[in-house]
Amino acid sequence: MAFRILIVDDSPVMRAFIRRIMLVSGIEAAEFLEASDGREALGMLRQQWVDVVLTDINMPGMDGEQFVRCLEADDLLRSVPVVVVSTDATEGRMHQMLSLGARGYVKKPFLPETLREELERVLGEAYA
Amino acid sequence: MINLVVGVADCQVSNQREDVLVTYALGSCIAVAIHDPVAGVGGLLHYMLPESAISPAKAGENPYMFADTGIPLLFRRSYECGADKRRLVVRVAGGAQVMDPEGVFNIGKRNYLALRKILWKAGVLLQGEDVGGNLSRTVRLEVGSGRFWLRGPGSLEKELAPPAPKGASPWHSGS
Amino acid sequence: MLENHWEQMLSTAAEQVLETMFFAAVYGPAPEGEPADAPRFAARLGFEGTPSGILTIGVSRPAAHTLAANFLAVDGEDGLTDAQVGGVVCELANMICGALLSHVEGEEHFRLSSPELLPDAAPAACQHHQSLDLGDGTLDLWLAVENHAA
Repeated sequence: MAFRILIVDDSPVMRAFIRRIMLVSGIEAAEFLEASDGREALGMLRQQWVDVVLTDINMPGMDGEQFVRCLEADDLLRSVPVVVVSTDATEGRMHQMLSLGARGYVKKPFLPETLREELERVLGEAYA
Repeated sequence: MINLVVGVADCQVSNQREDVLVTYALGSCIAVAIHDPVAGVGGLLHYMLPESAISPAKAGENPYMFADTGIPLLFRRSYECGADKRRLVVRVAGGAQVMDPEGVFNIGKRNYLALRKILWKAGVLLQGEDVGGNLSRTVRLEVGSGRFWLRGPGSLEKELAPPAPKGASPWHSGS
Repeated sequence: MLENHWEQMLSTAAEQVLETMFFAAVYGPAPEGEPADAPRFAARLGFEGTPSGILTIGVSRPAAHTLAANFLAVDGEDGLTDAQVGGVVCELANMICGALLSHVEGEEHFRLSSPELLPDAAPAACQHHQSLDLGDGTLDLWLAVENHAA
């Protein structure tokens, strides 16, 4: 199965880091889409399906919190699994994003294996 | 069962099912265990120091002394025995601060960071690790099963990260 | 917050980020006498919450190139542009700031600004400063905290 993954982060180098983790984790023929904020990501999601979204929180323009709220408010988009990848390591923020609809949360800094395992868990639950 | 002992600054690779690769007294040193479950190839490296630049002459004599010369050679030898990089299960142990409890030189941590950098640049992720702390470790890798065991001084042996069942990962489409 | 608490938190946060995502060791405090005008990459970002403030970092050019090569998984001889290295230094600042604030007591959601590259580091006045030895260069961290209690 070829996964289509949307990476949302205002840092191009962080998007590259995450993309590399996905590639070396063994995804075959994965397609990567990238957006630098929530608004751009929403535009992409309204045009094509993705299998999973990885999103930062602190971004100029539409931030990750607002982005996840918009996804949850959309009848179709709320079913897309979202994993938050953020420098905000507080328990309060994590619980907030999970209650808004995110399926997973990885705190920066993280080992590559940590992101791989969280993605495997979320995708395993979503597409089992 | 045949025990192949891997000494300090040493490496063994085998494709014989009955072989068990074992290395003792990992203090600040690190053991890198790799296994291809399809090809039935296993390899174990025991290295001492992070970078060969401090002594290229020594690295020339024994590349297994350093992470940056030993790890690539471990992988190359496994490929020569039929292993495939995409199938390799990689686990590591060691990197303790046994003779440097104040952390002044941090050789164990530097060995670990060197390993992390090399594997990241090579596009390899770990399936398990048991590193750090203050105690020495002994490890063994069963070539036939791919099971990886480790033990501290005076403690019971425990298995590290058993191989995942085939097909469990959502990544792989049946390979 | 005690004066020396911020300094220790800066070092801890930087070390955590450098080891986890840049595979780089901190060898301790930087040796005295690092030239103030030594070429380096610098980045700054602000944070809002309780407290608010600004974090600025400066990384010696050779060390910045090493960190960027590690992060982007390229070998030294492949070459990296200044834009790529600058992007990595910005992300380093972002993550150090986040790691620092995660140790501040309370459940406050901090809002971080986007990091920006600077032509030079060394803020004119700064309450807290740490200088760390990365082996092939120095990482300087300057932290200004608003409503700072003496």
